[in-house]
Amino acid sequence: MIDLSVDIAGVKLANPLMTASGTCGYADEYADFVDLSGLGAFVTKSITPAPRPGNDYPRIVETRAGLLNAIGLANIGLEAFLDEKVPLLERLGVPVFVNVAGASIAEYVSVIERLDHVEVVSGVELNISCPNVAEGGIQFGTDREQVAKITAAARKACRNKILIVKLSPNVTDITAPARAAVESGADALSLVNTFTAMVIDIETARPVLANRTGGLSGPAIRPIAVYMIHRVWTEVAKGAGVPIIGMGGLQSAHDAIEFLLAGATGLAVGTATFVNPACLTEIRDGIAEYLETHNHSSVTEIIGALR
Amino acid sequence: MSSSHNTQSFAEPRARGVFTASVLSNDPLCPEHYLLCLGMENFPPTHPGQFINILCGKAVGRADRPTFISANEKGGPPAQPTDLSQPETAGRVPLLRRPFSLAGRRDMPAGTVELDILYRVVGAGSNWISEREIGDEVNILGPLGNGFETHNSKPLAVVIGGGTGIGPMIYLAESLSSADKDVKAFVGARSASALPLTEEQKGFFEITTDDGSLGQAGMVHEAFAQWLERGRTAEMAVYACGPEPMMKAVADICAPSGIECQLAMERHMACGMGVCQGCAIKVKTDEPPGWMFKLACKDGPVFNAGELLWE
Repeated sequence: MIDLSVDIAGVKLANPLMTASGTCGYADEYADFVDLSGLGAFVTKSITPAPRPGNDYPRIVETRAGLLNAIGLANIGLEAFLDEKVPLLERLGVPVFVNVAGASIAEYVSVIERLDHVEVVSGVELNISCPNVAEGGIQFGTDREQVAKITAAARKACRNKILIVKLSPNVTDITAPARAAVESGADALSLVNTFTAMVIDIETARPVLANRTGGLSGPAIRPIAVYMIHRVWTEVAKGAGVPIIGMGGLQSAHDAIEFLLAGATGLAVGTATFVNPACLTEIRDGIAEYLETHNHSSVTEIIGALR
Repeated sequence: MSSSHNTQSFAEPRARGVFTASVLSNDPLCPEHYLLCLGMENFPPTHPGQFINILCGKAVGRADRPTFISANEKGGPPAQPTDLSQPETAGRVPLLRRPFSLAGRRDMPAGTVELDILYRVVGAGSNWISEREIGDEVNILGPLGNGFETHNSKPLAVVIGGGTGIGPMIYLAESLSSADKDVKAFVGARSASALPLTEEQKGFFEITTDDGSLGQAGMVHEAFAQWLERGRTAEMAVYACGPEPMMKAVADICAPSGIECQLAMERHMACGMGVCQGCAIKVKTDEPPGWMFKLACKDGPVFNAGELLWE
């Protein structure tokens, strides 16, 4: 029997697979397509204090090996989330991590303070890496002093839950914000969010997206994500005992094993679930097959095992 | 490749899911449009206006390494883009599924289901579909979205389709006719050679072509307006699908007379299930700021015309 369970800063996951924030709504949307109770954890779409309508259309454009999105943190807001979605999440039967965003540190803190008392929530994922909003998001994630400041503030508000900081890859040296987050109290790191990118319509000479730029996800970014996870694991996270939740273009068990070898403990899948929602559980089963054929008894044996 | 991973188990029937279909036929209807007929052992109930998402290529999620396989797996020449409308994905197997409205459904005596898809080859996805042959397996996700709401007391249903938007209107017209509704149907195309109807279907529709090569010359909404002016007074509900300017014109014709009008809208979408939030569409609200976004995939694609904020 292969042991797929992992530990994210004290939260026990039956397996490493989880949804990537923003690509899975609040769980009810996927209920017909995949058995979410087979996941290691569920990560919600970003929650902000007030509802946000999101950006104008067009919000998405497909590229040769990826997808640009500029949704703009469209979400129902904290109160509706607590009233309408938390009861649904309570029935999921897997740990829930709630992704949190805001336009100011005070906004982040106000959401975290409420979530800190919601029983079904196991952890808070701090979104300091959204490239598609004018205020908040990425501005907190690309400057190491800002990362330190917001992580410390979130840490104070997040007393009963684990604090995961989701890093932006739109930096010269990914280890700098990673180190700042860890030194300021992050229990775990998520990386990578999307890469800021642009697609131009050559007939109109305008960007395709109404927001002009979007975040690139999908298989195009996978090798960069693998590299960044490897660097953060070896230079920051491993020594500090901080687990990494890896994401970025992951779409098969093969990809998942690359992420694990590079140093990821958790694995989040986003864009690929748009194509095949059941890929989450298929990847989970594919990891078990790989471990069995490679004479491992536990997934933890290959985490960070890159030679 | 086994299809068992993606095939819905029918021990627990669900409202929607991922299914494996086989191609029963895939023939050009005119130089621009193809009619794809898919056969399945079973499929959830569907309504005209609903759509399915077709996986144009290989599924992700398996243990084997996904590769971008040639668009033509049968050894022929590589797929060529038919135009430059989707340059980023042209000539390749796309990452995302492609949405297609249902153009018909037949429930066969043996319990099997046949679905019709009317499509135009515009890019990598539809090009891949055009190369499928009889017996090929196709992975579909659906049924998705909400169809036209036809449960009303209106004695007359007016069905208006333009271009590729004719597909769902064929399904709607057939479905209303078999429910013994009185149906008046209009279709419009650029020219006779771009009209995706069988000879039999052509007899059922009032046809307009931009160049006058078949039926009345002009736009389909003009034919509808002229027919209204000739004194139709019966209470009616109007259903339309086609290019957005055509649908807006139909909505503008209906609004002054208070005629109920439902439109099937089109948006680029990544998932079709309401999670990616890409297919935003602006609708009116009573509360400030007077509008909100709905999702074409989940809240639509059919909307009441009066609800839409045209941009």
